[in-house]
Amino acid sequence: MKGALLALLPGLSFAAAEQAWAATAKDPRRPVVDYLCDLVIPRTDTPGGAEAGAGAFVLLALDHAVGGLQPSVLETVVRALDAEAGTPFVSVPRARAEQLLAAFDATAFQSRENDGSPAAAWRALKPALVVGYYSTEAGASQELVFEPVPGPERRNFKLTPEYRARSNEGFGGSL
Amino acid sequence: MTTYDAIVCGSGITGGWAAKELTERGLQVLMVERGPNLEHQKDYKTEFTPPWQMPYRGFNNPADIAGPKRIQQHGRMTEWAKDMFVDDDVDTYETPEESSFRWIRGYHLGGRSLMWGRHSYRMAPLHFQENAKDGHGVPWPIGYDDLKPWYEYVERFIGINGTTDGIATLPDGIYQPSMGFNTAEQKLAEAVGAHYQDRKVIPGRTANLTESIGDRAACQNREQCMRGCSFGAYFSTQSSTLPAARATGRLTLMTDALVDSIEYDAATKRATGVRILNTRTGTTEVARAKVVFVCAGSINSVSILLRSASAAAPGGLGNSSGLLGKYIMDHCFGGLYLTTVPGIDEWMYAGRKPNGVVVPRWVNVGEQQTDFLRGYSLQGGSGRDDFKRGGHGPGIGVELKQRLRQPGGWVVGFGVSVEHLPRVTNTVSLSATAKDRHGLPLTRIDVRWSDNELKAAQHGREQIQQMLGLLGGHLIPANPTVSPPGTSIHEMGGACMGADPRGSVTNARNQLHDAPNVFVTDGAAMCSTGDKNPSLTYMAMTARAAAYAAEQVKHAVF
Repeated sequence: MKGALLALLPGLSFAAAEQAWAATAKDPRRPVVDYLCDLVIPRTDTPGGAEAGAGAFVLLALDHAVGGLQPSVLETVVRALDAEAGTPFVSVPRARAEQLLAAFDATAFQSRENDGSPAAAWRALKPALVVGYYSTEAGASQELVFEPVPGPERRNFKLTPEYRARSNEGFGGSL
Repeated sequence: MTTYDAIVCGSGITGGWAAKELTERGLQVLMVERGPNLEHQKDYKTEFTPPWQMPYRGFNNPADIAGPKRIQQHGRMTEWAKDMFVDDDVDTYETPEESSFRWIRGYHLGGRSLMWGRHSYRMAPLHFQENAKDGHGVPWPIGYDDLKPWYEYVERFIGINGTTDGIATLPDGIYQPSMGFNTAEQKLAEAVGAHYQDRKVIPGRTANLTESIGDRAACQNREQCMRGCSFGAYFSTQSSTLPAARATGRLTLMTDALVDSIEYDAATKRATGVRILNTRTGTTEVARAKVVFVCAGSINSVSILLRSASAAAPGGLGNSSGLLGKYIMDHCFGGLYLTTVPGIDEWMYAGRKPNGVVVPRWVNVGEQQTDFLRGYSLQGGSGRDDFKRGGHGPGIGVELKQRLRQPGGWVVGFGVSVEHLPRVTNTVSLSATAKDRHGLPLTRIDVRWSDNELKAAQHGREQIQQMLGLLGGHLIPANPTVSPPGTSIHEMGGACMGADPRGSVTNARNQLHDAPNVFVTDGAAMCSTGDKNPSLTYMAMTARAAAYAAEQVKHAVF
C-alpha cells in the first residue's frame, strides 16, 4: 500500500489526492489509526476522528515523513498499547481503550526526551492525529469554523462562550 | 523586426511600474517576461482551495522540501503557493558553501510581485547619507528629497495602509487607514512605549488596501496573499500596473521570453535592443528600441548585463568601472523570538490581517552608540495559538475536543532585520564553465555576512528579549540564529548608482554610465540597503526614471 501511495503522490492533483486518501481505507494500519484518531477526537455533536477520515492524513504523514514522522513511530505506539492491554489494542472495548490511552498519554507528556521510547513515539504521533482531524472538512468546518473570506472588517473584541475558534490559521508550518 | 520606443526586461514589481509609466507617457512598450503568462484571477489556481482538498492539507510535501523546493521553501512557501516558486533543480545557480545564498524566485508574469511580503517603507535621509559618511559602498548620488515626490506618487497608486508616526528613521507617507494592532500588539506597543524613550512599536505599513481603489477591493483579511488575490487587494503587477499599462493600448507583452542580452552599438554608445530567447522553442530574436529598462530582479538584471559583453564592453555592458556585479547585498535576518502574553485571553480579533508590527531603527541615530555601524529594525506580529496545540500536550477525548473549540493562548514575536554593509567582495558573476538549462552561463552568487551584521544581529536579539520580557510571559526562541544571505529576498546592488562613472555602474537617473539609454531601476541600482523592506524605493526609482526616459524619447535624445 505504501508503494502505491508513493506512486500516486508526486504531482498529486486534488482529485488524485482524494483517490489516494480513499485508498488508505485498505491499508492494514487503518483500523488502529482510526481507533486512535477517534479516541483522541471522539464524536460529539460533530464527527469524530474516524468518521471524519483523519486517519488518511496520519498514514500519509507516516509514509511521507510529514513533520519528520516515520512508520516506526506508529509501530512503537501500537506495540506499547498492545502490551498495556494484553491483547491487540484495536480489539479492546472503547471504555477500556479510553482509560488505557488516557493514562498512556498523560505519562508520555511527563517527559520530553526523544529517546525512541513509546512515550516519545506518542508525542511524535499525536500532532498528526490532531492535525489529521482538524484538516478534514468535518474538523475544519463543522467542529471549528472555517472562514475563507472574513471580510474587510478588523476589530478586537471580547470573547463570548459561544465563540468557536477558526481553523484557518492552523494549516502549514510544522505539525 | 519590430521597433519599440522602450523594452522592459521583466514584469515584476519594477517591470510592471516601468511598463505602466512608459505607456502612460505615450511610449510603445514591449515587456519581456521569462516565465509563462499568469492572468489575474483566472490563474490563481489554489486561491479558494480548502485545506481538505490539498494533497498535504496545507503542509508542504517533505519531498518538495528536501528536493525541488529545498531553497524556495525559505521564502514563506506554502503548499498552496508552491507553484509560484521556481524548481531548484531546474533553475539552478552556483553559490559557494561559505555563502549558501538562497535565491528565491518566481518565474512567471508578475514575478515576485505576486509573492512579496508587501511591506512598504520609505528610506530615510540618513540611509542615503551613510555610505558617504562611513566610507562603505558607493556614495548615493541622490538623496531622500529626490525620491520624496516619487514615493508619494507610488504610494497613492499602490495603496498602503499605515500610520503616520513622525519617526526620523522611517519617514511618513501617503496612507490608507491602518490595519492597526491586535490586542497583544497593542499591549506590546504600550509596554515598549512606557519603558523606552528611543523606540516605538508601530503597525506595519503594507500594500494591502483598506479602502478600495478602482476595481481593487479592500483586503478581505484572509492572510493568504501568496496564492494570488482575485480581489486585487494587494499590489501586484497583475492587480495594478499591468491593467494600467494595457489600458493605454501601447503595451506588447511577450511571455516565455528570456532576455539573453542587450545589443549595443559601440559607435553611438547606445543600446539598440535586446536579444530574446523563446524558452519554449529555443529560438532567438532581436527586438529594437530607443530605450531599455532592465527590471529583471537584481541578480538577473546583473546577469543580463554581464551576458551583454561585447568587444567594446568585454566585462559586460556598463562595466567600465569594473563594479558590475559588485556590492551585492541583502538584509541580514534573524533573532526570531516569541513570547506568550498573559492577561488578555478574553480578547480576540476578527479576520486575519496580513500585517504585523515594526520597530523602526533607533540605534546609531545622530551619534555612534554601538560597536557596529548603522543599524536594524524589528519586524514582528502576533496571533493566538491554533488547534495544533492539541497535539503537543496531554489530554484526549471530549475534554480535548471541547478545549480546542476556543482559541489558544496569545503569542507575539519579533525578528531583526539588519542593514547589510555594502562590500565589494560580495558578488554576482557568471560561471566560466557551467550553463543553465537555456545554455546561458550559470549565475554565480557569493554573498556573505560580515562581523558588522552579526554584531548588529546579536544586539538586536538582546533588545528583542528585553522588550518581549516586558510582557511577563514565557520567552520562546523560535529561530535565534541568523539566516543565510538571500533569505530576506531583498537582494540589492550589483549596478550601484553613483556620481563618478569610474566608481559606479549607473548614474543618478538609473542610466548606465556607459549606455545612457539603458536604465536599471530594480534593486540592482541600490547603493545601500537601509534596514527596511526596499520594494517601495525600487518603485519610486522606477517611476522617476521612466518619467525622465519618456521625456528624453519625446525630445529625441534617444
